[in-house]
Amino acid sequence: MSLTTAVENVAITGIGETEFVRGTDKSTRRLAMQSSLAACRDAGIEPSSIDGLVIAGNDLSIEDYITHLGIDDLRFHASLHIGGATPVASIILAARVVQAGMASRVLVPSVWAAISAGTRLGSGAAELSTRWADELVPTTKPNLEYPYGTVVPMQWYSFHANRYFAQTGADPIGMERVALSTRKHANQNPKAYFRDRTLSSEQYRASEILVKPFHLFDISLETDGSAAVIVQAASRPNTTNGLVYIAGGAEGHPAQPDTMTSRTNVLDMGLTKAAKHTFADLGMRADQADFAEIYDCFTFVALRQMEELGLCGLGEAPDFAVESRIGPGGSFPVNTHGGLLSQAHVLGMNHVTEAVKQLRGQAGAGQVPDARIGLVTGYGDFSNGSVMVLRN
Amino acid sequence: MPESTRPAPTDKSGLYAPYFEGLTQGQIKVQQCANCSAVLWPPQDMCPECYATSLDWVEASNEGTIYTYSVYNRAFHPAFKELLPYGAVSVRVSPGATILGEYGGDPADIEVGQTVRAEFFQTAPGVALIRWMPSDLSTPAPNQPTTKE
Repeated sequence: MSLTTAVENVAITGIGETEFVRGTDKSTRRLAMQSSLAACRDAGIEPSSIDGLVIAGNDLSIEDYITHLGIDDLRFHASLHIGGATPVASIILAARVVQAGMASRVLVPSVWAAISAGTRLGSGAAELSTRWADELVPTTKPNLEYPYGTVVPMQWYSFHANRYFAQTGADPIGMERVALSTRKHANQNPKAYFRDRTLSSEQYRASEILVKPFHLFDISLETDGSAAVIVQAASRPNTTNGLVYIAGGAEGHPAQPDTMTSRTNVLDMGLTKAAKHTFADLGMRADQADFAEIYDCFTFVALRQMEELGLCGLGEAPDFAVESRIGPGGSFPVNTHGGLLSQAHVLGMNHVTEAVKQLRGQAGAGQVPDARIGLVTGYGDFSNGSVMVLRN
Repeated sequence: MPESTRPAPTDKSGLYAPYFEGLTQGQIKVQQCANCSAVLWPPQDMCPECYATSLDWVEASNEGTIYTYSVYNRAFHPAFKELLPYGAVSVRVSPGATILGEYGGDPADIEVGQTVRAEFFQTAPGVALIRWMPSDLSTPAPNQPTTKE
């Protein structure tokens, strides 16, 4: 299909990834620099020539990046923090910065060393979970939620899920479908943490329900890893890789984004607004993409985004998410790398790098034939959202 | 694990003070704009409807319906290990606020739309929390804080 472009002639020219593991001797900083260097190499640029930096949801500083990458003349920086919605929102910002001429070579890195840095959210270490959430919303969490043992994401999002299933009558089997299809994608991907481990319906159903309604396999991995991209004007790149253009995108936020448990409409998601803006700008519908990398911190969250992207109506995602559609070789493949559920949790920057590989034709066994247009979403904190359309 | 190790609210003297004072007196108090009467929950510094900063605290109903909920089979804070499975419910109360509390019945029985009534229990001197009781288990008003756990 032909696509109107909201962002003129700006591309992701380089991608970089570390290994995705559980346990590493490398520091968070070293992981971030490793993926950043790999992205520069992939784009064919000298790291010292980076002149823009959008730190996508990590606690490293601009000083860390300037000193380690030897950046000569950083003209622009920003640091975004909207949870898993950050990488996509950061790339959209980087694209607009390039378009505005404020910088020409923008590095956008994400990193999360959940295991090695001891920042697992589901660990049960109360100090970690509460410290993280305190930084996020210093009033609602410790006052209204911690006293009732409500401290980690799988708990927060369960309030959304339980309301959704009660209100819509949707079939919870949709969560299992996402878990199994995503694992099948991972089983084709040598870079997926679960590349060698299959997942059956029996294993899924036998797994513990940690928090209703989430089985163990509805919950994403926690890993150590980093991924980064370089955003440049499409006329500039010095690379042999095919160009992957940033056609457009937006971020969006729900009402009352400071709580999931005490708000008026727990089903309200920022992606609804972000998708409306993005698809109106581009004159397209979500189902006109060839594939989608949908932020899957939980199977349930992926289902809800399918609905809010407009791929199906409210309550219909369990029917939409059949393997013949979203699985390997399906008519609308979703999370072709294995997602956060089965590849790694790099805040969703691994969704971006996978989309670029798909549009370059470098996705290996998981390559979607004739991929021309890809969607990437982000979801973070208490239903912040972001979505981006990439094309080749 | 004793009840006292449960995380205590951190803001008992600032913005949330009237709410936590209310709980010790068996009342659920929420914010209401003194100018336009909008109900604000969670509490904040300014009305998002009219931007007034003069905000009153009004007593909400101690009875409401379950808007949404969860059941925890694993504890993510050590104080809750012995309380599993633990039910947490978000209850819609008049005049229009959604109030989180723990569920006093069998978590397997929780249903969206179910009517529940607040009881109040003390966790430390001067600190009370909400336990939402299904109507067949709730004791008649008045609800006074108890130390019974």
